[in-house]
Amino acid sequence: MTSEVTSGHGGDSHSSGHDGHDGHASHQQHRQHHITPVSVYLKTFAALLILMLITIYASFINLGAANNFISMGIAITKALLVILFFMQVKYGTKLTWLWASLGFIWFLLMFGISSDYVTRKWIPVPGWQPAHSEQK
Amino acid sequence: MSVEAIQPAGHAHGNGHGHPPEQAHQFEDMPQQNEVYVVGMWTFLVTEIMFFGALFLAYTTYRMLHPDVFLDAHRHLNVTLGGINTVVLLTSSFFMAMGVRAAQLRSQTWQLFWIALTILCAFAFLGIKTVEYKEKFDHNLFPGQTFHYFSVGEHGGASETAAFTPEKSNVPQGEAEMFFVLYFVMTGLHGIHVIIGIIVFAVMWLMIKFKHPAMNYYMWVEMAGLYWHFVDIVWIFLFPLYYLIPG
Repeated sequence: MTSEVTSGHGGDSHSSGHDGHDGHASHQQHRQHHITPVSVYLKTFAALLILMLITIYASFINLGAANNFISMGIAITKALLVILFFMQVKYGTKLTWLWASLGFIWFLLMFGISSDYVTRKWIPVPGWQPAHSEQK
Repeated sequence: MSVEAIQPAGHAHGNGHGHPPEQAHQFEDMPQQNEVYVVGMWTFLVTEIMFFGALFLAYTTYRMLHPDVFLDAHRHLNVTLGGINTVVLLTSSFFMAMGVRAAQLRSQTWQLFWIALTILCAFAFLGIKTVEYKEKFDHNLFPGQTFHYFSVGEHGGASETAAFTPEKSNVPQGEAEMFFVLYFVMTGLHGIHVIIGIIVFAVMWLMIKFKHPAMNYYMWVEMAGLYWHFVDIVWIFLFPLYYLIPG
């Protein structure tokens, strides 16, 4: 009994400990909880700090519209690093991957659908007064 | 009547099946239970993405409509303090990741250590944020009756108090106010999340300290960690969008 407790319980702390239920061995292995090495956390942390410095530096150089793409690109990269490593989604199950992406997919959908807002001042509509009403 | 009574013989406690005490009866095994917990936490985070997402959309819309106003108004924000706060929050996320690791390895000492550091960082973040907010209140930049916008020069926010010279601006008051409405709503909501994080961590710290049996299961700390990393992600986007508008 004691050994079984260890395999179910401590299986999480020992990376090799998934011997409990042979029938589901491969399934089990896939779902095993992952202990991330400290070095991975340190590298992630360092990468986040470097990216932050780059984004601050880049914001003081005027590159026109490219500035926005750079700053958002870096922010998305940083978010991905946090999600994959700090939040351990990289080592998560497929269901975790699906759930972790859901919110962001919804977010992209909302942005995509709302992008028609840009086109709304093309045709003058009574009652619609955009801020910069210099229509052609 | 008892749960044990209706369990198949092999599943009741202490009869040789030997599943860990923190495993609930309805779960096949610990990995399944862990997955359910993680997915449940992510479901909550999806709702968080939804309401923060709506605010980010509002921000994008207004910035698209009034790019010049946003450029002018963002100079009131202090890049140095914002940058320090970013470092503080990223560091706290790292500490929390280490705390979750300590929980997974079942080290009480290290859990207490890393969670305490996380709480300290959270307080530092709120302290710096308070300094920033106070400045905005002092300059009548909090939206409402007393709101009065004025422009500051190119590096207004960066070079603080002493060389503070309000300039006559032709920026429309209402549109500048909208910038600060969004700023206070989004950073304020983020700040509330930080406060909630501190409360959750403080309770967990005490429960670990006094060896509450529930804390034998590391998933509680791990889920608090997921929440905290999400708060960090929100700030990762808030920082460039408010403090680093190029132009």
